[in-house]
Formats: sequence, structure tokens, C-alpha cells
Amino acid sequence: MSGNVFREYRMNRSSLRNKDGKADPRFLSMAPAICPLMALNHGKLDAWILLFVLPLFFVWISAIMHPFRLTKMHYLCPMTAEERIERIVSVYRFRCVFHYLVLTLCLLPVFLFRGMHPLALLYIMISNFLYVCVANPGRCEGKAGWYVFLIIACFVGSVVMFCMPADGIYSRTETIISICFYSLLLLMIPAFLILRKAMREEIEAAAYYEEESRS
Amino acid sequence: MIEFSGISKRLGKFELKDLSFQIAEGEICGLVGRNGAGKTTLLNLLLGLIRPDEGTITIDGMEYREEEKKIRALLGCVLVDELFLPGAGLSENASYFGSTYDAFELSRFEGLLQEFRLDPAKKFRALSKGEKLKCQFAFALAVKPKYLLLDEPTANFDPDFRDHFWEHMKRFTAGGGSVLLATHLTDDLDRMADSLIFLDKGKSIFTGDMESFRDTYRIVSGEKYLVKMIDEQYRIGMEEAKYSTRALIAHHRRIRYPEGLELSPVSIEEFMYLYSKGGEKK
Repeated sequence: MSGNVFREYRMNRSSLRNKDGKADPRFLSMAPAICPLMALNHGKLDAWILLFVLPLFFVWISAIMHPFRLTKMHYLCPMTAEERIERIVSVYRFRCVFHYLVLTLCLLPVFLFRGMHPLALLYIMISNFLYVCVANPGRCEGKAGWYVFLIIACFVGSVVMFCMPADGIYSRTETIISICFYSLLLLMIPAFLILRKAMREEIEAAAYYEEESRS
Repeated sequence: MIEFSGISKRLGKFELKDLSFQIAEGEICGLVGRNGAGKTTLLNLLLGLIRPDEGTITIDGMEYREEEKKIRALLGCVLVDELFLPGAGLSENASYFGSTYDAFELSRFEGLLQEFRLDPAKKFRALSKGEKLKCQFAFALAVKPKYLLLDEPTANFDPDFRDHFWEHMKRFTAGGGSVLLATHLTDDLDRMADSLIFLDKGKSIFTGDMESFRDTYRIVSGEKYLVKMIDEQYRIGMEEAKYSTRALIAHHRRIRYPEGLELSPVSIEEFMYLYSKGGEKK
């Protein structure tokens, strides 16, 4: 079973609706983030922004649909805790690689045909990597602030960088913006490391079925 | 053999206290009790989903701490929760989860689905509640377990399928398998169970074989004053009606039943009902 990561990824898909039939709030939160961006860029960057923003949205949904948690049945099947961890990690790695490929492949035509400043491209590639790794970090108790910061920074930073002129002739404002955002990237890396530690703990906890207390 | 010895488990305000019993091979054991009595907690302990605070659970001499994988390969279960992945087909689900079992055979699973009139290609989410349980029951049998742990499956089965279910249970136990069946439908248990565990508020009220259950308890009915002549220590629960009073009695050969009282063997349902009429105070 562990050999077939794609099957594992495909099968372990959770619904975007919770038990009450309501949509996952994380799913809903992305829509208001995208709409103003689309509206702001209307007429300026035409359709290229769609090729950039929509994959981010896709990754967000896909990550919500593939959480770390296993279903109850996984805990009833004959597996050791190590085997369960192995499964979770392999699916997580597959998810990250797949999502990063999607983002990169969508970015490629933008870079080739519309043009993009190389430093902006570098920023976006780094930012996308952080984004795919932490798009659904589990509960990460006590680290929600870092998570929100990182997601917003990835999203907003990438969009601003995307809007930079491709010819490399920076005005002073653009230079300041670039410096600000590269500084932001320096803040994003420690946030990523904090979340990564929390995610590791989450994966280790997922090896065992979570006890439910009854009141 | 499944063996619980001195098991205690606290979950929030609820506590399962000092529970000990054994389930021998080839036996159907009924697990009964009111809602919140601890049946699901007991099953979760047995399934290794939660660990006891005190005591040991051994299955064929093995404990979860050391031999989790080997123990799980011996167990098949049907739980109230939907265990299969909702978006996948029945056969797809079975081959996915079944690949962790050495003894699983997809053809056996599909044969059972055909017998239960379920379409193997149908998505799990498209099934009715009863069909979902049938599907999980088919999977539990297809992994060729030694022990079947069933949580309230019969309540959602149609009467026709219930006979089918018991046929499978008979065949399973004849082959040396054991069944632990938690249910509120006790009529079937009266006919089919070899042993019984009765829980109330996390405490074990009765554990033992059905013969000793029938030997231990009696129902008396008759005039109220006659029923009250039986020593109070033997009267577990009593129901007073206008013309007749019934009581659950912890039978003992020392008891001298007054003349005029009708004495009858106890069924599980009557036991549960009359126990709730006063047993918890004792």
C-alpha cells in the first residue's frame, strides 16, 4: 500500500464540507482574498493574473482536501504507528511536489510570454515553495498567528512582485517595494520553520487515534 | 481468547470501572446497556483506539503495546461510524484498506456484496445507512478475522437481512471465530448469545455465560405485598402496576418465594428494564 503514493493521495480526500454540511471556513476565506485582487488588476494585467492567482486558489483547496489526519479505518487496519507516519509523510511530500509543479507550470508561460523580472520570479518561486508546504498545516495549536502571517505574506508578496515591470528599470518606489518584500521573505522563513516543527508534531500525533473525551 | 482484566478508563466525566471478562473462541458475546453505559468505550478499548488507564487487554495473549499489527489482523469490526471513504466505490475501498490484511480476498468481498445485493461499483456515500453497515459487515468478513466486534449493526438491518446476518454469525462461530455484539435489540441475543456483558454507568453489572445469567436472575410477578415479602437484598428492581407487580430478583436457593407469586426466567430486555427500575441504587 505504501508503494502507491498516488493512489493514497487520491483516496485520502476529505470533503470541503464539515459534518453539518457547511463549507470549510478556510475554503471560504480565499474567495474574498481573490476578488479584490482581481478587481484591482482589472484592465491592467488582463488575463495573466488569472494564470497566477487561480493555481494558488487550486492549491489552497487541494491542500484543505488532503489533511494530515488519517480516517478512523486507517487506525483499525493492521499497521504499526511507524507505517502510519510513513503513509502520512509520503502523501504530504507528494502533495507538496504536485502543488509546486502546478504553480511552477502555470508560472512558466507568464515568464516566457508576458515577461517577469528575474528577482520577482525568484521571490515567487521561494514564496510558492513556502506556500505549498504550509497550505494546510493541521491544527498547529498556538501557531495560528504564524500561519496566517505566512499565508498572507506569501499571497500578497507574490502578487505585488508579479506586478513588477519585467524590463528591470525600477523606479525608486519599486526599489523600495522590492527591498521591503525581500525583507518580508526573511521574516517568512523563521515563520515557516516554526510551522514546520508544529507540523512534524502533528504528523507524529496522527500516528495514533485521537481520544475523544465524553462529557 | 479476548481477556479484559481490571480495566479502568476515564474519559471526561465518564469512567469505565474495573472491568474484567473473557470471550472464549467460538462464542457470541452480547454487550448490552443503556445509552452512555460504556459499550462504545469498551469496544474502542478492545479495538485499541483508546488505551486503558489501568488493567490489561490481551487478545490471544498479545497486547496492543507490543503486537498492534498482529492483533489488528485478527479483528474485523462494524462500527456506527462510517469507516469507508465516501467518495470511493465499494470495491475500491475494500481493495485499498484490504491490502493491509494478509487474509483479505477481494473476490470474497464482492461475493458477499452480491449476496447482500450491493453494487461493488457504487460510491460508499450513495448507500443508505443500512447498506453502509452491510458493506462494512462484508468487509469485516472478507478479512477473515478471528474476532468480530460489532457495534449496533442489526438496528439498521431489514428483518430479511437480519436472518442472513445471524446465519453468517453461526457459520463464523462454527469455524472457531468469536463475536462481541453491542446491541439494543436483545431478542436475538436471548436466542443466540453464549455469554453476556451488561454495563451500567461504566460499571459491569453482569459478565458471564447465558446459563449463569438465567440461573442468577428471576422475574416474579403477583400481588405487591407478596413481592415485597421477598427479602429486599434480593430485589433488584421492581415495577408496580395496578393489578400486578413485577420484580427482578437475584435468585438464591435460600429465597423462599411466597405462594401466589409467578416465577419466570428473565430475558435480557426484562433484565435491562427492571434493572433500570431500581438496580442502580443497589
